[in-house]
Amino acid sequence: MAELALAGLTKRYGDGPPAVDALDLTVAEGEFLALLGPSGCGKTTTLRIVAGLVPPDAGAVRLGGRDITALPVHRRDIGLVFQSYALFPHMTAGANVGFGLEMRGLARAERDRRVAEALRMVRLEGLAHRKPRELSGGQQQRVALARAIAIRPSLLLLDECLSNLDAKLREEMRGEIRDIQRAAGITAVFVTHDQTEALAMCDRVAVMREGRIEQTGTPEEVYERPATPFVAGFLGRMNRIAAPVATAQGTLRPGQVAMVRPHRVRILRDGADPDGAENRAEGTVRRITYIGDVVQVEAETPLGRLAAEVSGAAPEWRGLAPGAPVGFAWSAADTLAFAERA
Amino acid sequence: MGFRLVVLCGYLFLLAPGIFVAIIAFSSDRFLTFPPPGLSLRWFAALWEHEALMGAMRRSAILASVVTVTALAIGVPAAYAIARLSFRGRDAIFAALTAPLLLPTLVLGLGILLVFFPFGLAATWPGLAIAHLAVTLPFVVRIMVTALSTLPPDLEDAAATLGATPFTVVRRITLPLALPGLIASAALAFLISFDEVVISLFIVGPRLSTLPVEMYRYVEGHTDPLVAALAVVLITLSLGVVLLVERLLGFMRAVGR
Repeated sequence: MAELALAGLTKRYGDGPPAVDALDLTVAEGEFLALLGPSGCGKTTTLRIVAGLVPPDAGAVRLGGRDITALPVHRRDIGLVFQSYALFPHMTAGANVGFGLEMRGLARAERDRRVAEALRMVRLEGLAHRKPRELSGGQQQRVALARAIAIRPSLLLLDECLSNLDAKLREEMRGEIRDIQRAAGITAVFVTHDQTEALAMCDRVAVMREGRIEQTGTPEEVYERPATPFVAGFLGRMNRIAAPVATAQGTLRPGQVAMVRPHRVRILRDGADPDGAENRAEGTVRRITYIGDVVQVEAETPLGRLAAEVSGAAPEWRGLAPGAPVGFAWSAADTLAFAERA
Repeated sequence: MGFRLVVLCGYLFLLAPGIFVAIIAFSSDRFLTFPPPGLSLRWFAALWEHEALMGAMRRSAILASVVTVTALAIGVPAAYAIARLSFRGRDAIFAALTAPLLLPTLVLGLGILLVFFPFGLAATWPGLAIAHLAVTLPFVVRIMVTALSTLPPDLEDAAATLGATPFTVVRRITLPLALPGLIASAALAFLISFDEVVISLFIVGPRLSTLPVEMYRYVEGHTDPLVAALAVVLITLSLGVVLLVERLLGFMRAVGR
């Protein structure tokens, strides 16, 4: 358990732009941080540098105040859960979990006790004798997690480790990993491209783009007050508007772009009262997407194509069909203004 | 039905020489007559008594063992470097290590003799071993590069993050998982060396000769079924090695490799 600090971390492969570009990041002791970004943004490279599997070109990695930049992997005391799980196929689940303890020279009895404890933590007691190929994907995932925490590392790294599970199991594991991390009080970094995972599991989210950190904040901060259009667009859907609408920062000026989340846009039927919303747009329905608990209504308006998202149980979307006229309304407070750029 | 017949004929064509030799090996006649006038084990007994051939067999077995161990000792680390590390000239080294596969052994044998002679390596143990390495190493490197490339590097990385030193990673993770490749390349190296005639013909001497060369010389001067008996012994040994490998690999698959 320790604080992780990255300073000026840089890594370049070949002649292209750097994969990680002068990256600074601090993860507090016991904190669960999500490193969120699209594929190719450098998040996995960052994780591998922290683990010691990739040497950085420049910058420093400090763990618990100690500079570990030059420390070889096997002396770092960092637990890593791989996207592929990377379980040793020739060893049983128990031997996999015990491998790190064996490397630490623990006596047999102590090792068995700690293996049992780690397997209990991931609810796999009784499966210690199974080979990885005899376990389901979810169980393999748990063994990989147990193996990483059994060594009681000072830092736990998770690399897209839920992306190979089906949706239902993924949701279950999300909560479980979160609970285990909290119970162990372990500092953890979770690399993902899935914004839902990042928001749901972590104390803080660092959004990465092209080797740099775009914004760091609590899930609520990055979702409600994104610092850049990229962050706004990456964390959930966004309507982009390039017309002088009312925003939280005043009326939109030239060279700015406004953004509003579809679920903050209300649907007005038959010229209903906008009820205090500063912005309105009338248009024609183009597409209605029903996803069960929510319904998305897209319409062509003078402000461009806009989307509104309402509850599937809401009455406003009933009877709407492509081609029908529809009114959208949203408040200035929900509208964010950004300087326009790539 | 017609296809099966073709396959059957193909096998018969391939196995016919072996079948004839096996039958003649049990002949009671002094000459290579077919069909043999009677059956006996006299030629196996004669083989057992034959100093030159039995000595050559011992030498060949020792040579093949030494060559196998050396080929693995050189080939496995080389294959590891080629499969796992990226460095300048990697492809060139891989090409150079596997090139002898493409050369006719006759050319290789002559070349080796020309190089060995000035160094006094011809007709010596080290000379024979090095010459055999030239033909076995390419197989070991080839097989092991394939075996190691199919191992996900994540496994080795995972072991390292759990505290395993690079040496321990190789011992506990890489080699156990590459064991089928190791066994296959060891068996192949042994059989190739044990069986090698052409290159050996160039560099053996009067006092240091291998079994295939001695057999070759024997049939030049004799026409009795002794060589047929020897052939049966060799076929049995080769089959034994192949079956052993098969059992080991099958066994490994069964234990969860």
